[in-house]
Amino acid sequence: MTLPRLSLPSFWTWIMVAACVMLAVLLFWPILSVFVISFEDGDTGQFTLENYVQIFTRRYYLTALGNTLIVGFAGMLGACLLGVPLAFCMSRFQVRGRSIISTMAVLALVSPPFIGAYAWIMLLGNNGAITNALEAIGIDMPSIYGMRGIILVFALKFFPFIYLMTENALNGINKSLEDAAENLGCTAWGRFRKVTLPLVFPAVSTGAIISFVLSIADFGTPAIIGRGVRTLSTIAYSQYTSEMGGKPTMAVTISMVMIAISMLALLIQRRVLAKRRYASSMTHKQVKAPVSGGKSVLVHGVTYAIALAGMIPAFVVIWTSFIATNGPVFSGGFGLDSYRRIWSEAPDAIANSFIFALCAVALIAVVSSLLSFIVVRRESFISGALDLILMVPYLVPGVVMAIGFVTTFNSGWYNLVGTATMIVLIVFIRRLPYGVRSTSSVLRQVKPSIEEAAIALGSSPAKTFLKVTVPLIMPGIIVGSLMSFITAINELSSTLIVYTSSTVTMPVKIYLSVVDGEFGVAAALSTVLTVSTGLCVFLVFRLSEDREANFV
Amino acid sequence: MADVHLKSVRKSYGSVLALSEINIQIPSGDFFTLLGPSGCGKTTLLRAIAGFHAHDSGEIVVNGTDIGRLPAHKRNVGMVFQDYAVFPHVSVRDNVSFGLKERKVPKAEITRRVDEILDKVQLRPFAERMPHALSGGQQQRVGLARALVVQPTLLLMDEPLSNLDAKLRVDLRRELRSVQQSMNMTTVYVTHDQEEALAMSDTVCVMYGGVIQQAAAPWEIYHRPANRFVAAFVGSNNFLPIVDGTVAGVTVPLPADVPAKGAELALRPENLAIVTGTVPDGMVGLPATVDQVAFTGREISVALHLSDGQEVQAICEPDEALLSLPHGSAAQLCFDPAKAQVFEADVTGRRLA
Repeated sequence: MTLPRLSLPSFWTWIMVAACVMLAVLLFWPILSVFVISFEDGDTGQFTLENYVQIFTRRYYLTALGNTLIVGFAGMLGACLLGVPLAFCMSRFQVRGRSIISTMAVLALVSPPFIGAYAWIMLLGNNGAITNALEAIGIDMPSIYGMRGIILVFALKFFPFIYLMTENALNGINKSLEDAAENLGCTAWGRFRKVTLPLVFPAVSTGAIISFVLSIADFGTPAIIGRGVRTLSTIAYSQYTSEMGGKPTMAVTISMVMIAISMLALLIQRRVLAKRRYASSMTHKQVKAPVSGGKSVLVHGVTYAIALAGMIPAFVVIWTSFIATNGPVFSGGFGLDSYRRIWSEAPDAIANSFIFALCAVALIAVVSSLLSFIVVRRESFISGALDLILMVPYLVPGVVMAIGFVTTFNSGWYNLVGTATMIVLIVFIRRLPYGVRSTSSVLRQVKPSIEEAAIALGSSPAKTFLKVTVPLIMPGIIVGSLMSFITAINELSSTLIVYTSSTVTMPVKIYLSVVDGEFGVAAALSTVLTVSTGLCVFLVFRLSEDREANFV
Repeated sequence: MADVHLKSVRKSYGSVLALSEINIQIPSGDFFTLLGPSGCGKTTLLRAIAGFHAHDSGEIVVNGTDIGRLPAHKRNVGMVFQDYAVFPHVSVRDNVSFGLKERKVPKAEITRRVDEILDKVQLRPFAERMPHALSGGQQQRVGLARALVVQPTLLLMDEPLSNLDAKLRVDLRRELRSVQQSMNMTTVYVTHDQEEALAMSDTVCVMYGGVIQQAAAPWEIYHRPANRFVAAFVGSNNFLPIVDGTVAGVTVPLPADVPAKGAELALRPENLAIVTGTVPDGMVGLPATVDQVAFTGREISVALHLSDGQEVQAICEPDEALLSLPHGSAAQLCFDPAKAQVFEADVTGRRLA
């Protein structure tokens, strides 16, 4: 009798091991080192709880914590108040030009929030266009700086998440349910409140939680428009810069608190949702009712007003980028001075942005197609865990991830501090989930039997993946890459921590210009960013059947 | 309890006529079934009564008042849906009490009435469950209880059993009928299942192309169909063209007014007999060739073709001799001319005899 020969680990086992190692190094090690340092004394390196005690006792930190929660909740609430009515109008009424509205919503979604903050200053700031116009006729505008501005920017930035998710859910409600409520004596408002809204609650809350998590993680908006209002992400950044050289203990402790808040928000939402999963058989599809007269004016007014409000920042930056300048001062009239200036002063920022984003996207494309194969095709504990682990980058704020990288990869042969590699790796790990999600949703539609047929014909697993699977999931890889590119090129919060003079990117340059009052340069760079982002959105729309769904 | 009177109800979608001049009178307590193939307008008519879409003209009179222009939530008609439409986000009890809460019924009375109706549909032990924990049949009983508990003037049911499996369908059919009878509830029921329609209804109303073909008691519908469509849709029928008083070359005794062309003889399969010897007295025999004999337990179904190639289906009492007839053997297809009917050859051709 011969013993069964020990077979070598297969191709996919190797890939799985490699994936685990990669996630351990690039995701868990930085987070773990942040976690460990948060329990160390800044000077002696001894174990201590003092950092946390400070955060929960000192006014400076408590105020920032309170502010963060307030802007998170208020931003989320504002986004809901804009997103839900928009979704309702779009899914229940015949709105003219609906694709224009959904395109505007997507464009508002992908443009970085700090551009929104800066554009609103251009309009409503101390020297803003609207402020000056109103002042001329004797109306004093309340200041846009501070809490009010942050919340305004967040609401207008994040409502598309809620809109896209809610509209999708509203379209999926079996019409019979609303008919049944009407038949039992419910008025239109009663039906919406008692049947429709509870049924779309899971979708609304998912969108709301994304808005909340992104709101509390955002650095650019409070930094630009917040003035005296500090949030956890801005104080983490300023602590980090002031602790530069020593151990960034307070910065990482703040980071841990931010991660904890995000995780808590997600847990609460999961818990609430656990009891509310409604599988429904769709036999009766929703019909969009025609609108006329006053109702039509109302419906079109609401939908276009909300969508346009989200687009205002883009219009403003493009407009101001073409205003003639003299140094940092707008001299009136139109001109290309701002573009001339970025061409002479910041060509490296533009080049860096594209190079870093493209490198990160190339990595994301390769790794996400391998990972999605593991997640979708391999039924094991690890593949299930991978699916969950890929949620983590969503939860970790950019500032935190960057601090984690700096505190981890800072010595010996793996010293990456100040290198372009670090920026690319941070962007890669932060945006990897977009690629995996898009690729795996396409892969789920490919029948495994196609791959099995190739293997049965004698093709090795690796070759089958390259020759059969990859071509089949190419649309998903391309859409995922475009999505990652959009988010990668707009990345600010992590890059700001790790950039050096040679690795400055467009978002960083825009932020620095706004801080220096160089609004013309900021506008021209923002326009370059906005146009390249818009181009990607256009490509996603052209290449994907389920257009808007890619963005949420 | 209510009597319903539909007066010249019309509805069209663009140029497509969905309902044309519907005139129906439904006496109080009647179980009135709208039967027809898909697209015949039966669901459109039901939803017009419920108020889910407006009809173009005509009146929907319930107990002497026209409810046709009231909004749906003010009509007080109960409706049971094909897909149950049980609210997935609330319990069985909250589903059933939904309409009572809308009507601002006092709390204690809600509890009492909900318990009562849940007893009636045998769901009392499931009152606190969520809908996803119920089977399809149970969910539809929730739908029924929810519609009945508000004491509607009229109950509407839109193919309520079509999503259930066959065995359950028959059980729930009986249950629906007995609940309806015990409450003496005027009911308009939509189905495309002819057996269901015949088994449950006081009146069956056959629709086709937005037009009522015939509204009558089940027996009447089956035995005296008003036109060729009803004869073909309810039960099965063999239609054989009549040419100059003959069918497949055999002279058949026919009433005098049957035209020489453009008429068809309708023979129900169960009225046909197959003999290999001589044709019995008073019957007409058509020479035929046996194609296939299938034994289904309760009966034998025989497929034959006549001398002119027309295919005929016959259903006979189980008989071993018949079962052993080989493929291709010659036989006589016999029928009693008194049980044969004559229709104009058109889809909705009139009955001539």
